[in-house]
Amino acid sequence: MTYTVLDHVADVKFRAEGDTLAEALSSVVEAFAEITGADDMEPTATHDFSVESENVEALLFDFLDRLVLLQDVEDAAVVSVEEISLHDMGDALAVKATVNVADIGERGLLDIKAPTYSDMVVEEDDGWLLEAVLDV
Amino acid sequence: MELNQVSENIYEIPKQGDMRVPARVYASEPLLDEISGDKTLEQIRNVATLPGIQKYSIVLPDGHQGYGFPIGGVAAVDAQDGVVSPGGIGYDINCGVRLLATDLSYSDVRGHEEEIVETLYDNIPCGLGKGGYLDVDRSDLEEILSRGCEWMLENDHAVQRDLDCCEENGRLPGDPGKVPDDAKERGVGQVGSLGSGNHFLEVQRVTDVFDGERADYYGLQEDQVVVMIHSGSRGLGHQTCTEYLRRFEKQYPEIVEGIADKELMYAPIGDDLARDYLDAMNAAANFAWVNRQAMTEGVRDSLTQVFGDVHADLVYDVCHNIAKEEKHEVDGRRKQLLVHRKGATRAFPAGRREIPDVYEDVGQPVLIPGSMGAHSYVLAGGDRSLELSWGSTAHGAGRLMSRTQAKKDYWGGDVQDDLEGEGIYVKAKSGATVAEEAPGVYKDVDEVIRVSHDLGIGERVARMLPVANIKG
Repeated sequence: MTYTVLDHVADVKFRAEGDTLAEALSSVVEAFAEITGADDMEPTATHDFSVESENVEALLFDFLDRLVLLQDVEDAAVVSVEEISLHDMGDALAVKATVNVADIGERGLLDIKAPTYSDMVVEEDDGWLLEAVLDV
Repeated sequence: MELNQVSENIYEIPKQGDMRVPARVYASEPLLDEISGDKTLEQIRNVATLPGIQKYSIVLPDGHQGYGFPIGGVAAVDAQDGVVSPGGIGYDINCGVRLLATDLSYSDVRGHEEEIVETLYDNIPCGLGKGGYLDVDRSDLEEILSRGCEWMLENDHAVQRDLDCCEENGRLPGDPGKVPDDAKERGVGQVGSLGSGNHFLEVQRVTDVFDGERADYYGLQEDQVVVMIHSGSRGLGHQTCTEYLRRFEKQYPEIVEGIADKELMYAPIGDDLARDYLDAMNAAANFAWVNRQAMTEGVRDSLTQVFGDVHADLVYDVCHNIAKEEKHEVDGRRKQLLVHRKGATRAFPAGRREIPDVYEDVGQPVLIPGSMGAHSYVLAGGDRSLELSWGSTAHGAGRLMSRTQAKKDYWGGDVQDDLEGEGIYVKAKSGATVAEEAPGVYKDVDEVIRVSHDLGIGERVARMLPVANIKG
């Protein structure tokens, strides 16, 4: 799993890579945790969610949306990834994910407003490369 | 890209290719240099391709790259045959600014800055996570989405002036039934919360009055202490935009295929989905006003805690991420338009019926925050704003530097120490946020305001410097 937090004038952008799409999405979770500032927190629980989308771009958008929702609705900071599996359903792609989370408490974490399609990159070459901008 | 100077501070990208109208940039040469450094010009050219767009797409002096639309972007479309684009409104629906004028002077607060900042920070939740100044349940939330600040007034969280001096009186015709359930889940615990990023709550002192008559109308004078709140619709608005973008994408694949940037996605205004989005957007706007009103109550309680009996009257509350139906003159005829303002502030001059009665003779107040080390401004809607910018002007300083670069160049603690040396006390939940919002990462707000004033779209009334600032 590898990721890089990239420059963006107003918001935050990242690049996540992996040999498979599931691995690249695992890297997305790690990038998300670093961006919010939760990457060094001690996990206290796991959280499961699933996403089903019509193509890879939409899947990345919806996947990020679930991470954002988790923080706002469950009050849980996403710390790291536990497991991700991908299922090609023909007309849709489905992801099942388990992420490690911690209570947000008084920790000063960055509030991610939303995923965006801005500058989104989804490339499969020798492995997968995903890039996206998060609105902060 | 071809860019022609029309006159001082006005540049134009001529209509070419898929553009339906030219694109205009309102900037001085130094600001234009900054605007040209990212994708702002490409984005405003794309905005000019929207069906139903009138006259020209516009970038204001604080413009910078956004999603689909640039931040500091304005586009007016025909309200019958045009389109609505959530990207022209932004994820943070009705992000906006309000200003409270207190009866305290700077000499009253000197020596109490730390106490003020600690009290505000303790009382008003900020940063990521649940918690707001007001506890509301889902039933209350439905009322808030439907009735905005009217609900606050009825429940003793506002006084009549708070509604009288708020854009749209703090209520648009929203339909709670059109707001996605996940959005409600995000919003229910966040009524009266600041958020993070560039949102802030700031105690300021009025340092300069440029226009005494208008300042009198607005209740402002030199040395007066005022409080500025910059926040929006929190998770509720963000989730509403997110989910409607996906619905648009699924319903209009042919539109997605034909546009240069998916974030510019749109729906024809006459379609049910477009009406649903506008009803949801209005409801989210109501939530944002209630959020700022709840923080207003928190500010009033905090000032009372520190100073005893203090008045803090609302000067005005402006949206800078919204679409509004308004009548404007096009080719000599009055026409109903949907004006998208994304990081742009309505700046109506005297005479528009939308302005509160108390300001009808002088034009509406326009509130423009600077960075936490720079001036913020109160302008008045300018006489030329209707002709040039659909009654709009800038919304802030505009960023120059990325957040990642800011964290490399600044350390939050150093920024706080430097500002304290200038008499500005900052408290934030996250040191990283202080670094990311350091004064040096923003454009020169004084130059943005100079261009707005010289163009006559928003005219200088007064400016303030920060005294105490809390951030997420």
